[in-house]
Amino acid sequence: MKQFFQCFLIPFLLFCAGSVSFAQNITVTGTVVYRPTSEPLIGVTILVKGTPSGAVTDVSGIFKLSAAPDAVLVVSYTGMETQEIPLEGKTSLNIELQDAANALNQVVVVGYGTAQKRDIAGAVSSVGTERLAKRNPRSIEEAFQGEVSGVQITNAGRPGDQATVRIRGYGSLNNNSPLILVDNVEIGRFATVDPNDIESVTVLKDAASAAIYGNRAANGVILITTKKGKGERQTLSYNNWFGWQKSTSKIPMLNASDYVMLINEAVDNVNVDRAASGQTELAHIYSDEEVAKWKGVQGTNWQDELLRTGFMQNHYMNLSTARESSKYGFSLGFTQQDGIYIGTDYTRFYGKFSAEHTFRKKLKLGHNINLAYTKQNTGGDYYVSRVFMMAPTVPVRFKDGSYGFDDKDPGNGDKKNPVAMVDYIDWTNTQNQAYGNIYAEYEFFPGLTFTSRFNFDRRIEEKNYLEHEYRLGNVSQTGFTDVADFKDRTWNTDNFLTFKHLFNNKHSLNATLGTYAFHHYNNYLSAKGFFAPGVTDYVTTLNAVGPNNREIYGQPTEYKILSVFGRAEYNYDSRYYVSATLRRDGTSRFAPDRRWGNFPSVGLAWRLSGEPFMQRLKKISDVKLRASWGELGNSAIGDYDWQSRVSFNQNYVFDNTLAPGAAPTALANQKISWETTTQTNLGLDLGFFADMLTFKIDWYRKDTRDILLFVPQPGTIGAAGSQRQNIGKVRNQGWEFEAKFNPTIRKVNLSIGGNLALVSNKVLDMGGVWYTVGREGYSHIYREGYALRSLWGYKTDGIYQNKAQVEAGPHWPGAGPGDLIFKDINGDGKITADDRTFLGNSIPDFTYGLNLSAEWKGLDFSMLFQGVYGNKIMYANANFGGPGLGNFLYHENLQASALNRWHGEGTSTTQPRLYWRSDPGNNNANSDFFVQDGSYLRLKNLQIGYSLPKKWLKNAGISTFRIYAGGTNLWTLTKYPGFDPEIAMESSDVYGWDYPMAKTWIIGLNLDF
Amino acid sequence: MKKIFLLLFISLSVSNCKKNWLDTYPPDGPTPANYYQTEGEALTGVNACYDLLSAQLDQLYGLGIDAIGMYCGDECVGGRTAPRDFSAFEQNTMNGSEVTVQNIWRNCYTGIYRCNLLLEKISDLNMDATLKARYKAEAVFLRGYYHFELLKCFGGVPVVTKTLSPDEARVARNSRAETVAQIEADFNAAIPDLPLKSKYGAADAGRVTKGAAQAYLMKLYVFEKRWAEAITVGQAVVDSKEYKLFDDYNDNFSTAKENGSESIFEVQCKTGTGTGEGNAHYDLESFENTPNPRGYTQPLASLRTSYQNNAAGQKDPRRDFTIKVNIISSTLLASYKYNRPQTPQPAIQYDGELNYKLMRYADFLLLLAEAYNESGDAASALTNINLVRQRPNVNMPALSGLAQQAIRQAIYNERKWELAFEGHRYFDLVRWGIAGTVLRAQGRTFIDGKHELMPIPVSEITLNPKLVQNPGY
Repeated sequence: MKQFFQCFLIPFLLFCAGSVSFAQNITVTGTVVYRPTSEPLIGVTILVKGTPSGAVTDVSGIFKLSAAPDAVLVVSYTGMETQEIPLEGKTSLNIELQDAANALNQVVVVGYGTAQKRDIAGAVSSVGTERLAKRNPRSIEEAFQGEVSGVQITNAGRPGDQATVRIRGYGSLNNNSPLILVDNVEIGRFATVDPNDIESVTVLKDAASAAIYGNRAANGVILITTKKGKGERQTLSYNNWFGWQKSTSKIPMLNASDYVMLINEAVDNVNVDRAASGQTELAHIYSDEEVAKWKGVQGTNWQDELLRTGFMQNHYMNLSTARESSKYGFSLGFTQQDGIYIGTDYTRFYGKFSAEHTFRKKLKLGHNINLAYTKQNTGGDYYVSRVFMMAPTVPVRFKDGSYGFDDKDPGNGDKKNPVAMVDYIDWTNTQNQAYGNIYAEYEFFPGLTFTSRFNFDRRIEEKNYLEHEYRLGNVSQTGFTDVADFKDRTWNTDNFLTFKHLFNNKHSLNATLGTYAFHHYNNYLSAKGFFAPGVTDYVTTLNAVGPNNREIYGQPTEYKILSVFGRAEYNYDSRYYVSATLRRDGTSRFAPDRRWGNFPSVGLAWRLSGEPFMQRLKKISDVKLRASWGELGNSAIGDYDWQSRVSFNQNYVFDNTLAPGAAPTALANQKISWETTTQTNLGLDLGFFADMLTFKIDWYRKDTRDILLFVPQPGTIGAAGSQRQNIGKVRNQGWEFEAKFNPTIRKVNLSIGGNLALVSNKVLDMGGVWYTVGREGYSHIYREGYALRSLWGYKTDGIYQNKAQVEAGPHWPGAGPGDLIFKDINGDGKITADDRTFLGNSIPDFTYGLNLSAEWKGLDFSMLFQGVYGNKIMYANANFGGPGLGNFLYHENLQASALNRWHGEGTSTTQPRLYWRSDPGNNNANSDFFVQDGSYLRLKNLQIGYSLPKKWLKNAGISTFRIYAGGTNLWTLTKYPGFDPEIAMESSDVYGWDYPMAKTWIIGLNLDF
Repeated sequence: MKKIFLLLFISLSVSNCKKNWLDTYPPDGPTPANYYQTEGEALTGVNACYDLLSAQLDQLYGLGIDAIGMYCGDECVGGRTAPRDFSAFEQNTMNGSEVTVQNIWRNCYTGIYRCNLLLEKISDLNMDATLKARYKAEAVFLRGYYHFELLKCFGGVPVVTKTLSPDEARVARNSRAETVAQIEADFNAAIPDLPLKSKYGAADAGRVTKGAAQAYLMKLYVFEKRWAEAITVGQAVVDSKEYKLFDDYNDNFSTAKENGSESIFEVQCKTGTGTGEGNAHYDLESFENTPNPRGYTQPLASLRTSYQNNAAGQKDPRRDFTIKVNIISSTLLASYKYNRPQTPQPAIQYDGELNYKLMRYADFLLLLAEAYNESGDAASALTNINLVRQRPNVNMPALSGLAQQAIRQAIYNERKWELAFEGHRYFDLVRWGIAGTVLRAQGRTFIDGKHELMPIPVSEITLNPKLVQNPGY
């Protein structure tokens, strides 16, 4: 902390105490009106070009500012075309704005500043307010899912859980998450921001745009700005929605009658083999009387018992006030969602206070403070898998009211009644977060500004887990509590100088030079203990736990970064663009001699449409060629991976007393350094008919080298199994296409947009090592020549129909008729682990989105389709049988497809035989039998709204009154047989057990005063 | 003026930040270079060498070597289909991808690494000379011990006698003879500086003793059929008068008698520590009483009957000390050495209190008897066998007048009955060269020349191509 004062605060204060002076400016006044109606426009932003100074129109559409006599004013207003007006000494202006046909003049937030879309040389995509207002997203991720090419978003089903966001594929084997900044603050979780509060989202994809963020920009950068105070008058908005959600699908499972028949058949199949080897036969699980009793009975449908329609609601209010030199913004949000799995829900309170004050037009001081409280009831959702495992013959409750259990397998602790578990387990995660920034901007003279920002994020997460004492069948559990506190504290500071100037109206220069420091501290504390028998109904805290089996963990870690950066952007007459960025980062995560990395980038662009020879081609409004190259860093590894240390608690026992032991357990590597991504981008922007139709095409190659990988080491070393090393190279290469068409046909404003991103991912080099992860430890592979996390396993070739067929070729030792035929890939005459091979790519070949919207008078309509194509999913549920394939290890239920099982020669060529509690034919090994196509196309969002005409509202002081109805995930086209194909590639190794995705319907209201 | 402030700001920003602002240190452990500086720190290093002797689940004796001893032999089956590799061991279909063999390999080498590290760190440490010698001897013995466990499972393995860097770790296997030589050297080096069991303070109960080191050296000689050397070192243990069989066989499995007179070496287990010092066998043997009953050690019916087919035609009381008839279903059998009615039930699974026995005096006496018998001293062999047979509450008739082959058979039987479910059976069968005959008679697969050894973990061969797989795998 002391160093923090020395390094940043003292200079900051000294700087603030600096003197203030004035330049030779003239005062300009003017009015802005809407061209079709000549109505004054309120809240229009007028900026002096090349400077941050400007003004905003008041209720009468009047503005007043001071500027140099030769200045150019930039007049912009949401949804309207931005104009540039050279002052040429004038002191009074009448400006008319019209609806934006030309999106190119839109101002987009970019790294350390803003830029007009026209002048962007890199690969940048953005989603602005207009689009967001029509989608009413329920989460930030939803706000741009399907809207932006090259960004793959995979939602999590459980309310409050983070979606996975990937920009341009998967480069690293560590962390592929982009850097996400909300109002310049890196926040750990999206989920704490109320999506209503988002003003805009910008995605920086290529190196030239992201390089200014150097050290964590390798996976792209997402910049989110929230609504601030603006305009010259007070505005008050209130939005709400109410919704209902249910699972997108249900999986057909066996009913009780079929289940009883099949489990007995599985025993019969065992008995065939037992008889052959002279062993006694096993009895049926269900006796003949029981079979007769269950005949035709449906039994318990556990999906119906556990999945429900959840209610949810959101209320959001925003107040914006501006006085002459001060702007205030105030937002409040409340969200409450019931999950579709019983016992799960999510609540969020969100508040934001922002203010900005201008002192003598030179110094700006401001702050954004966000507060969020979230609470997630995870209930028993760990037991989602039990939805499928529970036998349909088990009642939710027995007749006497006690919870049901499987009396055929009463001691099986892996299959507890999930309804009971929701009751027996109380599990909440709460989070308190305060984040935001204070900042100062000082304008030395028009064009030269110094900005100093101090950003902070303080987050406290609490996990409270309580498992009550219970007994289900022969399974009993002592009550226990397991609590954890997760305290997270981050600050960072940006201090930078910006110089913007337009020389001779032709040469535009924009330069930035700054420093950055970052500190992250996290302290994790958890404790667990067991209660004395019989007390958990009234004691719940750690103070009541007994002395045995207490577990205590605590681990503070910290992480620091120090950086300097500079960027220069030059363009000549908005035709020729050159930019260069250099950032130098040092991190505490590497040894002192390895910690500094330099990350350069360059960008070039040529806007042909600015050339005189193009002016004759009136139909072509924009042509721009873009090229960029740059290097970015990644150090997303453990905070202390380079430092070897002795671990305590390597204990032993002497004389029945714990004897402390200590030994190093990890294999540190002092030589590790930055993982580096080199990205080359080529792009083309096209606009026709005054940009009514636009295209954007990008090609990129993104090579990540020196990947910080845990490289497995031979056991003979003896410490840990693996060591961090900089090793290997992964290539992501692809194309991105975006097209927009915004015609107005008979007063209907139409908008059609589409995007498509093709990516191919390949591991080019892994230093000769490869390894597998996932189900049974080998369902997914990281290996040279394959895409990251490709599916791995055996190939199969139908089902053995008879004994002769089994004997005819290589087979597993225990294989018999009815088992899967495994292919002898290496041709050695045996089926062994060496026959495992590539089974498919888990990364989609392409992702796409299509949005359509129309407005006619007060009616608006929008829909968004989104999809992925070409990815494969290992749809196999570890240990618990697969889809229609099972050995009843846990007397689990099976999918209805099990009815197609092999049960005698010629009965099935697709589903193997059932075999009670063992798997002699290895049918459960990872194989192409389980591989499913993960492609899908879905109607992600649909909304129909109606805004009351303004003239009706004028007297009530209401500017917008819009009601709407819509939904998400309403329709899905997919071949995937599980709950939902939208599952994150790396989310889970037990595919098919994820929390189901929800289909929602909402109705809502937008009200602006 | 403005420029001055600006320059001031930038210069302060840069210069005030000490160069070491970016230095951060892990708060939960010192670097190895700064550790092992005191006697107390050295002791934690020694204790960590023992840490790998663990009967927790998936550790060395929690479905590790114990599982091979039990399931690869003819003692039991895994009962209810278990999520681990039992069927592979029962059917001899293992291929080197089994978690069990990987864990054995990794855990033994982790133990060896800790011993080597301690030996390297302690050599320059200024501390009490006697204690230092003992610490070193403990580490040297354990290094030999872990190599011996590897030898039993895999044959000759890479011999590691110093800490290795990743570059040095890709080494080829040493021959069986070289591995044996290292184990022998380590045991011999440890013996002089290790105290007798009675010379340790009470608080050190469970540390390796001179007797244990000698007994294991004898066991190594027996495995290597070096009978004369086995007798010499074995007789030294007998003559030390440090060990005596319990009068009651059941005392071996009583928490009250841990590290008692019959105990030579055992895994020190304790429930409820939270750092994993328990014994998994309570739950592995359990059919009832526990939160998640398993019953992973179901004795073969043939084993139970064999207790009655002894020469005297009399039921051996050890049958019912070892096997119980399950109370849920009378057709199911369960072993229960670590799951006695009086054994306390652990609060959490696989966390039993009772120490896991590695070498009991009875085991030792039978090995010694074998050495005598094989070197032609039938009388001494019978004396030692009868000690085991005639402990008061076993009290089987003494054997006498048998020839060498008959004594050999008697030892085979005696070890089977005395030591069932203690993880010795498969290794004994292999050592005696009768594994194929015995196991095939039980309907199990056993290929001579292959199944005497476990496969080297495939994952290790991938990482270190210099490792050559055992024959047949």
